Amino acid sequence: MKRSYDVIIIGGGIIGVSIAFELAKRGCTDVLLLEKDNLAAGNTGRCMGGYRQQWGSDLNCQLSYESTQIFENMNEYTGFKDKISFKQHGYLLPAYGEEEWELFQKNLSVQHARGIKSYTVDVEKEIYDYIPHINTEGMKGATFCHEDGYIEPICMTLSYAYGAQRMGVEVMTHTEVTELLAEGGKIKGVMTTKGRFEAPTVLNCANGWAPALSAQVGDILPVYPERHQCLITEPVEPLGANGTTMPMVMVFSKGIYAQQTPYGAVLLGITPKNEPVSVNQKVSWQYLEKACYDLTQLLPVLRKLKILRTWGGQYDMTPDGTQIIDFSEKAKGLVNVCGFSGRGLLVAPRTAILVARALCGEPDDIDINMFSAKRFETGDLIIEPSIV
Amino acid sequence: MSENKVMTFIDPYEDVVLEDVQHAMDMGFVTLTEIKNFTRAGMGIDEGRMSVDLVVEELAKYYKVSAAKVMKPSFRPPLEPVSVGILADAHKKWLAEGGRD
Repeated sequence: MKRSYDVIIIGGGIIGVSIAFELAKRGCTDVLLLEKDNLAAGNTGRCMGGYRQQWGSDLNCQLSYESTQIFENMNEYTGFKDKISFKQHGYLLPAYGEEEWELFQKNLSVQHARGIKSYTVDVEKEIYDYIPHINTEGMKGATFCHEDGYIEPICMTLSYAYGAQRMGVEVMTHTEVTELLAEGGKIKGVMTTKGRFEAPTVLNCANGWAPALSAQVGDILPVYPERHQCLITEPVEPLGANGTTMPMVMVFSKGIYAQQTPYGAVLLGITPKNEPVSVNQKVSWQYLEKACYDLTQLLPVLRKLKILRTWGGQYDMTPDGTQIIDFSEKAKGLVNVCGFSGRGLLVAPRTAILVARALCGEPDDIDINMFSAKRFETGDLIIEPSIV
Repeated sequence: MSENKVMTFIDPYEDVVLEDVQHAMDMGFVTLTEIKNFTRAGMGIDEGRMSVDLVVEELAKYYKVSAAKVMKPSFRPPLEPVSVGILADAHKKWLAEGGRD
């Protein structure tokens, strides 16, 4: 068994596999990816698969816009032949109250500067052309971008993994990293349930599990898990206008988001209030009842739908809600890539390019150093105003 | 597909046939969860009641182990499909009785 590699990646979620792919694309193919369960078994596979470009900060607009260009051609990009359930049916963001509406107008100008095709929708009349049965009570206005939508997170992970493997990356699932091996201030490799593997570069893409690993070499990452809960209904006829699937409706002030998947099921998620910090993947009945109540307030037509499944997953939150890409100083060669705060899937393609370029010494117009964990000491936080 | 070809359904709710499951195993998937994620077998309205045992059997056959060794999934609430309206009304009642969000 081969025991020595150029790069070891810990974590078979979307971040890990996309970086593996981008590295291989740049000729760095001596890569081993380790996953403790199966690919996308952590929080990638638990996410709702929505992606949007309607952000309030230029950085997120750029990351999501450039990632969307890749989503649009995912099969060609990775060579994966199976379906990845990609659908650009749009995101509708209704604003409640003057303040939120003003913020949305400001966001639009940031988005337009990046070439994102978002626009305002009149809530008196036009909105019914997007979602025929929506309750517009209290809405001040809304914005829409038809290039936002849904991508199946598990298939996207498999797609990247397939592409990476095709170029020579080794993917080892059901192999848990138990220890980071560092010596004299440098990373040497990892100890796993299948023995020791060595590499001068180790990427810690273990999401919510990343801080516990990096702490072994003395890197303290302020990443904490926040439970979000989801439910999915039976598949039904398209609920959008003109026979299309219902776009994502996202209400920031109520912390509720719902959309119809390409195969007809309605997905609903809710941002928790006063949720204790814990890795809890269960769902509470209180959540289910409240989520259904909020959903029927917004879309009364969904009352008759039957709920099939529920599940919970974690957002890996950082204090400013932006990812950490940190080149360790205590163990040189270790790079911590985590804390995506619930946006990992939709910025993964572009973020992977950013990380791969940095490791291969290629230039990039985004400064990777701004994502360093040092920002929490210096106060150079990266704040996104429009999050749910 | 030729006219004489027989299709063996594993999950009729998600239109998953035996070939899909075999293709998934050929791709290197070893657990029921992986097969489910890739093929959607078990994600239909019966929540896998029909397909789980069939996939388990195929996995056992493919990897030459006893079916008892294949890990089965845990069931999560709701055990039976339940309508959004019923749950919404429960919360409405809770609010009417002075409960808070």
